[in-house]
Parts: sequence; structure tokens; C-alpha cells
Amino acid sequence: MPAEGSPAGAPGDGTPAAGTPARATLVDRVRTNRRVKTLVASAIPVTWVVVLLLVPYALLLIQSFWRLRNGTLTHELTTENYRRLFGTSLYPATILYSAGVALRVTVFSLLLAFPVAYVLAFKVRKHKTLLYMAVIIPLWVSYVVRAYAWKIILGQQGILNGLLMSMGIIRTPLTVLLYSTAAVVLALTHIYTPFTLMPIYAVLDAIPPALKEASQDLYANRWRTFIHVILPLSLPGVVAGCTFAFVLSMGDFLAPQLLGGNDSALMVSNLVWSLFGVAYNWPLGAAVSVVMLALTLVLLWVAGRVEARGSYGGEARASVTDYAAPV
Amino acid sequence: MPRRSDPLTAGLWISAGAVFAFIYAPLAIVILYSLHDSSIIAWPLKLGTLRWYGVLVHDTSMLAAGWASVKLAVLAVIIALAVGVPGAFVLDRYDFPGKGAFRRLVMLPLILPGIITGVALLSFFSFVGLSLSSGFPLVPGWPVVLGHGAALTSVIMTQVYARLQRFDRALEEASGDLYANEWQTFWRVTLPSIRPAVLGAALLVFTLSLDEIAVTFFLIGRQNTLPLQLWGLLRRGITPEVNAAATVIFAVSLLTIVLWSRMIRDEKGRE
Amino acid sequence: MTPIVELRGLTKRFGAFTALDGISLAVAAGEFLTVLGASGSGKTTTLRLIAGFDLATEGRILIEGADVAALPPFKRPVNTVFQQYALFPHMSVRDNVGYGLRMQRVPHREIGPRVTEALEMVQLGPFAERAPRQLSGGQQQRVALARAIVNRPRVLLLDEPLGALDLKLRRAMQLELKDLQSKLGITFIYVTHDQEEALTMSDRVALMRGGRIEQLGAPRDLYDRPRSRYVADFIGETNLLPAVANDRDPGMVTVAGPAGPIPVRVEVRADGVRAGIPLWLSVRPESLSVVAAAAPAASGDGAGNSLPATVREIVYAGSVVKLHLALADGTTIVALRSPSDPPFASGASVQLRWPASQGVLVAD
Repeated sequence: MPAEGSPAGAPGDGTPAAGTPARATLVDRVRTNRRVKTLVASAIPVTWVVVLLLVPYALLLIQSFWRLRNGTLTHELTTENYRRLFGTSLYPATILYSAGVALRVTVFSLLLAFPVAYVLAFKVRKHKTLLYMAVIIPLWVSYVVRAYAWKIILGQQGILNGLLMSMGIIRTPLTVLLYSTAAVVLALTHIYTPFTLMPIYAVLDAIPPALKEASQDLYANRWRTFIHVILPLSLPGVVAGCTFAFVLSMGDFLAPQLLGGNDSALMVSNLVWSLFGVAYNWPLGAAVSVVMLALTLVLLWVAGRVEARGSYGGEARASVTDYAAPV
Repeated sequence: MPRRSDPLTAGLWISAGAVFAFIYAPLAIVILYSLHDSSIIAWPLKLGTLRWYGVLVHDTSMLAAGWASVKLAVLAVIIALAVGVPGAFVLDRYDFPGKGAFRRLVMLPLILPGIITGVALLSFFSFVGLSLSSGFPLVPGWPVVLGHGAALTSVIMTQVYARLQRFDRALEEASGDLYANEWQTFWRVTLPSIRPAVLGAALLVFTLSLDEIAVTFFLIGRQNTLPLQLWGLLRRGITPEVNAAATVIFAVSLLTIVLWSRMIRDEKGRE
Repeated sequence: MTPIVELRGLTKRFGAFTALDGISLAVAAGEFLTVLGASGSGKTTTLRLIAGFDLATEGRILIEGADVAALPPFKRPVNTVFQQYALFPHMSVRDNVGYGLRMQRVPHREIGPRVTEALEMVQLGPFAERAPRQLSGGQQQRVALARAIVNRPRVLLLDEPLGALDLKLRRAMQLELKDLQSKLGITFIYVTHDQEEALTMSDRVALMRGGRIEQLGAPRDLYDRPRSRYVADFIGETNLLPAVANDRDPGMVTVAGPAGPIPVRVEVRADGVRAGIPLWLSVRPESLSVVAAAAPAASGDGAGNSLPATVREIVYAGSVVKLHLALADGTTIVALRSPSDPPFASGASVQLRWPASQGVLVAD
């Protein structure tokens, strides 16, 4: 039995003991001061991001204006890197070539991903999540492995050739399979199709089935329902998926190196790679990187605009970057 | 809709199945050939040996690379959690000038080709004078650890942020109403609620770090990570040992993803 | 007169679960028929089968005499108003409403005026260019309605369209719908779980239970002459007094009293009533008059019944006072009195009186 007049036990730090007026302490004042709280809470994340992301990217930009003198990096400012970049045909040509590869990869990925996303979203009843996981899992298998797989399939002594020869379809191995643009496109399509699939599936899955029923109730058959209702609603996911596939395959350097052959299939990233490596021309490499960075940002901005225009009534749509985390 | 078996639906299923096969066939080939009884990878497949796994187990440089990858991944997860979780809270609950720019900056490593982030970080560490081998042999090099942390923080930040957006603030208000201070509320109410999302994101970062190549290539010091080691092997000569290594990696990734999906399911169950 | 919609022995099974158990129903052209029932009674399944979103396991569905079982929804001359409206978010109100017309390849110049006309009919003329998400729930509901009626269907199916609206709005919409229906002359098949809504709006009501039609008839019939205890209980408020049949006199039953069974006169008996099964006497609260226990027996009313009861609770409900009473065997009774009547105190002993014509004897 608690003695009369004494308060019951006080858990936590805030229980007002009966009869004692609560007093605001310094800590309480800090608590309620929004600005101080914001400062304290955001200190670590913001500092980290600024130091380890903002500064490096900014440094890359600045470095692209530095001069390389006799093989040594100086901090003198010059535009010669960009002049060289746009002046020599190698660099614009490579950029265009990379864009061409990326475009092909994007188109093929879309054509492959859409039916699977559609079937998963609308035609699968049981084990939907399981099957979705099954499609996504290859994304997490080592990228090197997946590029390598095509090497052993397409090589002169590779599996495809061996298979075709043993079936009697060809007599001598095909040499055109490996070390060609086609091989690079094939491998990149293989790697990025699941990437394209994810946002498309997410968007399709979010379409309420009642919309399909309503459309059919209003005399549209299944094909017309697809064209008039499903397809327009899938566009944000399609845009996101295609943007991913394009940006990532344009910047890819492993596949062209393993499967592209020596000169014919060099992509932009291979250039950057050698400029920062063997060729040791960091400012020029930085310049090429900046151009790639700029192109990527422009692409993302355009994709965002396209999505915004597709949305009706001005609702804030999920942007491409919302799909960025590969889940 | 009532199920109608007709050519259109059948065609859809067939194409979906074909794409599925396309996605898995190369992987299947890699795995099968890890059991190939010959050191030359060619058709036909001669199944029936585990010796390449034996070679793998005795390949010290491969094992060292694997160990380095694991250390790196663990450190990356720690950093990403330490920065990403508070970062997610900041994004969810506070406003400050430049918040939009902050968000976009954080997303950059995820959407840019890795090589750009890699050379940017290389330039930075070179400028700052931090040697690529610093910290070796304890860590595979501080630059690469910090680089992975920087690149992968965004993953945790976006995932936890998404979870926080769905979190019911009324729970925190109730906790405060019942005399808990902010720290107690965070520890006893908020954190347990978002724990599956946090753990899931951590697992994701772990897997991504294990497989990271672009940034790693530019920042690595003396010790290779597993993907780089594999890549080196590929350019020299291919034996099925590579397939064995690849299969092991696949198995580990698979396990991680299964674990991750369990987390996600727990999440959904809780909500 | 051929019914516009006819269901014959319609059965729908989902695996081991039977949602509809061989129901048959004929809907007359131009009528407002409500399919009423609790969740799981099969009412929505019935609607979906008529619309074509699900296929029947057995039985036939005839629309205007033609068997539509094999036809997909887009080939059936019916339109649906969905519970969650199902408006296309990527189209304006105008494009939503015109969708069905475009799909039927109605000539372009005809679509505009018809859409405008339909929007005027639901009083949404100025909202034609808005996006669905910019509208309130009630407005979206009206767009869904306009989108359906613009096609001039012979039959309109409505799946609990007013469920998401608040009470006042719902009441207003009920009147509007009824009004619209009589103006347009379209047959409405309306699904709801709200019995008051069903009584207000319908020409006929089909009360469903466990995949079967429990009773089909005009609202008045279901109210005054329920065919079973379930109907009596579902429709409106009623008092169910356990009763025992009298073998010799079918017009008499006995109900529990404080000192033994009390004879009670009954004039209306439901179909399933017979001796040997549990029976109830259904008396609506408004039919009961409450007088003091000591009041003299009513004069000149030979067909009246009287039962003793005790007052438990008095609940004031604005226009009426509800008395909760208990019979000798504990059965709770609700009776209504006017607020201006002299009040009874809790615990008071009273007599309940009602004319014999007002009680219905029902079985399960």
C-alpha cells in the first residue's frame, strides 16, 4: 500500500510525479527547437554525402579542365581536353556507337520484359511473389559471371558452336558469334532485361482488376482494353525500365571488353577506363566522364518529363529515380 | 476474369516462358560446366566431377579475394547503415535548404554507370592523398571501403525512407503519450517496426558490394576482391574452376535473396 | 411478357465453395430490382455472372431471351457501375464517359453530344475536363453512372455503388438514382447489403442467403409477410418471440408468460410453418402498444393480444422513444412510444398489446 501523499513509481523520464509541476529543461528546449534538431540530425548524413559524393563528382568536373603537362597532372585550367574530345573523331564516334548499342539493348529488353511482366501481373495467381523473385534473382548473380557465360557460349570452341556442329547444322565453327557488336548487345540484353522488367511489373501489378473489367463492360475486347487502358497506364514503368537499360548499358565496360573484340566494339566506358589506366590521361578521361554524366542527367530529365506528361491531372507521379534501387 | 484458353493467352505464356529460359540458360550452363570433367570448356558436356570445387578450395588467391570481398561488404553495410538510416529519417521528417539537391545527389551512384562514380572517387582520393593501399591488410584499402560505403548508402536511404513513409506516426505519438522520451520511442517502437526493411536493405547492400566491379576496380589497392579476381582469370585462361567459383557466388546470392524476401514477407505481415 | 433478364438454375462454385446454389430469377423490363444480402450471400457473384466477369458453373443466363453464357462482357448489352467506380485514371471525365461509345464505334460527331447529355443528367456538366482524382467520392460515383448510362443499356447493374458515401449523401443519391431510373426506363439490378436502401428504392427485392434466394417480392411483402425468420430479422427491426404451435387450433400459439404459457392469436403464417419445429412470432416494434400492467383489458378488440413484460431500458431517439423490455423467459422486446407519452420507469411492469393481424408466425 503506497503511503498516502507519495506518488506511485515513475517509469521513464517524463512521468509527472503527482503534485510536482513539470519544468522545461535545456534538453527540452533543444527538443522543441526545430532548427537545432534538424542540424543535429542531418549533420552526419549530409556531411558524408557532401564529402564523398558531391566533392568527388565536382572534382571530376574540375579535373576535366586541368592540363596534362609532359605526362604530369597540373592544376592549370584549360579547355584543351574538351577541344580534343570533340575534335578527334574517335570520341564522338564512340559515344554514338555506345548510344546505338544501348538503344538496341533497350528495345530488345523491353520486348522481352513486357510479356513476362504482363503474365506475372495478370495471368499468374498462385506463387506470384515466388515467380517474380525467380525472374529477379539473376540480377544478383555476379555480373562477371553473366558476361562470362556468353563468352563460353559464343566462342569458337564454345558451346553454341559445339552444339550446332554436333547437330550437323554447320560444319566449321562460326567466328562471327563472339567478338562482335551482336555479342555485346546479346549479353547486355540478357543482363538488363530483369532491370527493365521490375518497374514495368510494379506498375502493371498496381492496376486494379476492376479497370480491366470496366473496360470490357464498355465493349472493348481484350486487345482494345490492352491498347486503351493497360498500355497507357504502364507507361511510367516502361519509361523507367527503358531509361535504366539505356543508361546502364551505355555506361557498361565489362561486356564490350570481354565480348566485343579489340577495336570494333569499344564503348565509351572502355575509353574512360584506358584513359584512367594505361593511357594515363586523367583530365581527358575526366572530360569524357563529364560528357557521359551530362548525357545521363539529360536523359533522366527527359524521362522525367515524359512521365510527367503522361500523368493526367497533375498528380505527383513516382519518378524514374524511385525505381532506382533494384528492388 | 474467367480463364479462357485461346491462342492469345497461350502465345503470351509461351513467350514469357521463352524469355524465362533465355534469362536462365546461360546461368544453367555455367553451373553445369562447373561439373565438367575436362579442363577445356567445350561441347559436349561431360558431367560428373567435383574436382573444380576442390581446386577452388585450394586456390589461395581466390580464397584471399573472397575473404577480402566479405570484409569489404561487411564494412560497406556498417557504413551504409550508419549514414543511411539517419539520412532516411532526415529525409522523412525534416526540411532544410537544398533538401531536393541532397536527394538527387544521393541517388546519383545508383543511376549513373559505376565507372563514373569510380573515376570520380579515384580522383578524389588521389587529390586528397589517401593511398589506395592504406589500411591494408586489415581492410582491402580505405578508399575502396569508403567508396563502397558512399555508393551504397543510397540503397539503404531509399529503402528505409520508403518504409518510414508508410509508418504510422500515431504509434510514436502514443508512445510519447505514455511517457517515453524520443530515444525510448525510437528504440522500442520505431526501430522494431522498420527493422525488416532495414535488415532487408542491409542484406541488399551486402550482395551489391560483393558483386561490385566498376567502383572497386578503380579504388582497389593490392588485394583483389572476388569479382576482380574472377575477371583477371577470365582474361588469362578459362578453366571450369571459374565456373565453380561462379556457382558458389550464385548460391550465396540466392541464399541472400531468399533471406531478403523472407524479411519483406515479414514486413508485409506486420503492416 | 418476356423477362429482360432470366436466370435459370444458376450455380457458381469456387473449388469446394458454392457461392450460388441453383438460383432462378426473372427480371421484368423497366423494373428496379434489388438483390439484397449479407456478405457472402452470393449477391455480388450473381451480378458478376450477369455482367460476364465470371463464368457460371451450371445454369443459364438469358438476356432479352438470348443465352449469354458464352459471351464475354464486351458482347453483352449490359453495363456495370462498380463499387469502387473503376474510373480510368489516365482519362478525363469526358473521355471516361465516352469510352464505351468509342468502343462501339459510334460515329464521332455523335459521341460529344451524348457524353454532354449524360453528364448533364448526373449534374456534372462543368466537370467534363477534370481528371477522376480531382473529384470527390460522390462526384466520381456519378461519373461512373454517366459512363454506364450513356450507352443506353437495356439493363444496368449496380454493385453497391453508394457504399463509400456518407449517410446524408447516400440518402440523396438513393433518390437521384430512383428518379433517374424511372426517367430513363432502364432496368436496374441493384446489389446492396443495406436493407433500408433496398426497401426505399426497389420495385422488388430478392433477399439472398447462402447462395439461395430466401424471398423475392415487393418491399412491402418482405416487410409485412416475411417467409422465414431470417427474412423477418433481416428486413427492418422486429421482435421474435419463441412460440409453440397449438395442434388443435392453427390460429393460436402459446408464448412464455410469468406463470406458464399464454395463448396468442395469430392470423398470418409463413409457408414453412408446421407443428414440431421451432417457431417464432414476429411482431414489429411499431405494432406494439405499451400500457401499464394494471390497465383494464381493451374493449371491443376481440382479436387483440396481450403479454406481460418488464421495462429494462428507455432510449431517447429524437422522434421516438425506444423501450427495451423483457418477457418472462428473458426474450428482449423493443417497442416504440412517442416522447410526449407518459414515460415508464425502468423496472416497471407493463402489458404489450398488438392486433392479431400484425404478428407473423415464422420458422427457420
